[in-house]
Amino acid sequence: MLPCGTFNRTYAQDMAVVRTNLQWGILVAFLLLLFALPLFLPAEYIYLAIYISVGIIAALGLNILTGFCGQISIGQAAFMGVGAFSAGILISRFQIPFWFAVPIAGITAGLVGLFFGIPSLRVKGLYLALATLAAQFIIHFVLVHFFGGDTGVHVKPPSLGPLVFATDRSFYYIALVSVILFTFLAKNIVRTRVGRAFIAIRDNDIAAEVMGIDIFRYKLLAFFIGCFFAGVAGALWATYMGLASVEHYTLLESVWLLGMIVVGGMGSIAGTIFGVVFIRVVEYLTQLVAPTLGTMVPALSGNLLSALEILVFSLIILLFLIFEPRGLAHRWEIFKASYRLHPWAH
Amino acid sequence: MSEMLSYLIPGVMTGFVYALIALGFVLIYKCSGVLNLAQGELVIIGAYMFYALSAQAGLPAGVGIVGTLLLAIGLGFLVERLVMRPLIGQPILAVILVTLAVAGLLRGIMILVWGPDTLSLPRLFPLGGVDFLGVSISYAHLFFVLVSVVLFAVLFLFFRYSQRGLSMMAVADDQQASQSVGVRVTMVLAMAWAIAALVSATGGILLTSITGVHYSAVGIGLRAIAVVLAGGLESVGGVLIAGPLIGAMEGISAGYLDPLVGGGMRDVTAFVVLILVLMIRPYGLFGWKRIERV
Repeated sequence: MLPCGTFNRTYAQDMAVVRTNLQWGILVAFLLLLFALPLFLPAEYIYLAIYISVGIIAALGLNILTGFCGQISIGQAAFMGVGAFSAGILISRFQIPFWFAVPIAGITAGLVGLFFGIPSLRVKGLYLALATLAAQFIIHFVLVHFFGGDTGVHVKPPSLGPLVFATDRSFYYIALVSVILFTFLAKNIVRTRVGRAFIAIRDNDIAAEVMGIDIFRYKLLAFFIGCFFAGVAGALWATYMGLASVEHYTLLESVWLLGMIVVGGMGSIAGTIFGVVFIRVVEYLTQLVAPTLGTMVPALSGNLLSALEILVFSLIILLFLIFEPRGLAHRWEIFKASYRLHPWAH
Repeated sequence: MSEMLSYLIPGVMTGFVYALIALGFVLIYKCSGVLNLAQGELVIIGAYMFYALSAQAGLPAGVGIVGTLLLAIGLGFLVERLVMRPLIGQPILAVILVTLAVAGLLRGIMILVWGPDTLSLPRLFPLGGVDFLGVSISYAHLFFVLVSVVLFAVLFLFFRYSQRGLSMMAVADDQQASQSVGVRVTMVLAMAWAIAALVSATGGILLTSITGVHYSAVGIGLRAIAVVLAGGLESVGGVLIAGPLIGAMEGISAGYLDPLVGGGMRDVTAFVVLILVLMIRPYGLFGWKRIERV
C-alpha cells in the first residue's frame, strides 16, 4: 500500500523502490547514521555490527536461492567456508590484494555451488535439501583435509594505499559498504527478469517452463548467485577474523542462516535484514544473560553458555514456524499499512 | 584379500545399524511425508539417556536399555504432538526446518545436561571376537547384526500381523483412503515417530557402546539419510540392503583412503554416495519412480 496521496502515473513510478521525499530523507539519514556509528559506539557493538553485516550478505544470498527461487539449501555456511578459504589462500599464499581476492572468492563459492546445484536439475524439494546437506559435509571434509582446515588459513588485513583496515572501526566501513552494495544488488536482482523468473519457478515450475523460462538455467543461476553472496560473506568474515577456519562454517551455522530468513520472512529483502539483526541481537543478549543465569543455577553453569544460545534459537524458529510463518517482514507490512490508514481501519 | 575383508566385514556389520536408523527415517517419511533431519539427534540422545540410566543412576544395563527405549518412545510421541502436528499441511521448507529446530533443541538439551566431554557407556558386549576367513570379528559387531536383524524381524511381524502395524502400512500407502475407512491418522503419525525414536535409540546405544557418546556425533544419524536415499525413500526393505552396502563402502574407503588423505573418510563417504545417488538414480535402488523431476 502506498502512502496517502501517492499515485502511480508512470511505469517508472510504479517500479521505484523509494517513492516519496520523506522516504528519501529517512533513507539518507539512516545511511548517515550507519556511517557515523563507529564514532560513538563502543568496540563491542562494532564487532556485533560487523557480525550482523556478514550475516546479512550470506542470508541475502540464501533468501534469493530459497526464498525467491524455492530451492532449499542446508549448506549455505559451507559455501561461506569456500569463500573464506579461497580468500585466505589467495591473499596469504598468492599475495593477491583483498579487493580482487573477495570477488574471486565469491566466484569460486558460486562455482562450487553450481556443482552441488546440478542435482536440482533432476530432483526438487526435499531431495535437493539432502544434496545441499551432503554438500555441507563434503565441503567441510575437503576444506579440512586438502586446504589445511584444522588450524585454518591466516589472512592478513586489507590495505588500500597507506590505509590499513586492521582495527574493528576501520573494518566496519568495509563491511558496511559491502552490505549496502549487496542489499542494493539483491533488491534489484529480484526485480529484474531474472528475479521474476526465480519467483515463477518457486510458485509453479511447470507453469514457468510453459511460459518459456529455461528452468535449469535459472535454477543454476540462483545457486550461483546465492553461493556467490555466501562466498563474499565468508571472505569478509575470514579477513576480519584474520583466520579462515572451518569452525565458523558448520552445519549449525547453515541452520541458523535458514532460521534467519524464516524469522525475517521468506522472499523478502527487508525481511532478511530484520531476521539477521533479530537473531544476532538475541544471540548477543543470551551471551550477556548466560553468566548471570549460571550463577543462579550453579549446577548447570558450565554448559549453560553454549547450550542456551542453541536452545533459544531453536525455540525462536519453532515458534515462528508455528505461529508466524511469514516472518517479521509480514508484521512490518501490517504495521506500515495500519500506520498509513490511521485513523481508519480500511 | 584378508586386509580387504578386515575393512569390509566390520563395515557391513555397522551398516546393519545404519539400516535400523534408516528404518525410522523411512517410517516417518512414508507415513507423513516429513524428512526428519532430527534423526541424528534422536540417535545420540538415546545413547545419552542410556548413559544417564545406567552409569549415572546406577541401574543394571538391561533395565537401562528398557528404560531408554520407553523414554525414547515417549520422546517420539512428544515431538509429534507438540511440534509436527501444528505444521501438518505446511510447505515442505517449513517442515524440514522444524525438524532442524527440534534437532537444535535436543542438541541444546544434550549440551546443557551432559556437557562437552565424551562419555563412555558401560560395556555391553564381551571383549574379543571370533575368527572368520582369517579376519577377527569383534563380538560388538556381531551384536550389531544380531540386534538389528531381530528388531527388523519384530517390526516386520508388527507391520504384517498386528492391527496397529497394518493401519500404519495403510496410512503409508494412502492417507486419505485409510482415513475414510476409519484409521486414526494422527495416532499412526505419533506411532511412526515413536518407532523412529525407538530404533534410533537402539542404534545410538549400539554404535556409541564402542566409541563413547558425544553430542557432535549426530553425523551417524545423518548418514542414515544416505542409506535411505540409496535404498529408495519409500522402500522399507531397501534400507536393509543399502545399509550394509554403505557400511561396506565406508569401511573400505576409510581403510584404503584414510592413510592418503589423513583420516575422516568414514564421515564423508555416505554423503558422497548421497550426491551420486541424487545425480544418477534419485529414486534409489527400490524407490518408486514417481519422483517429481522438473
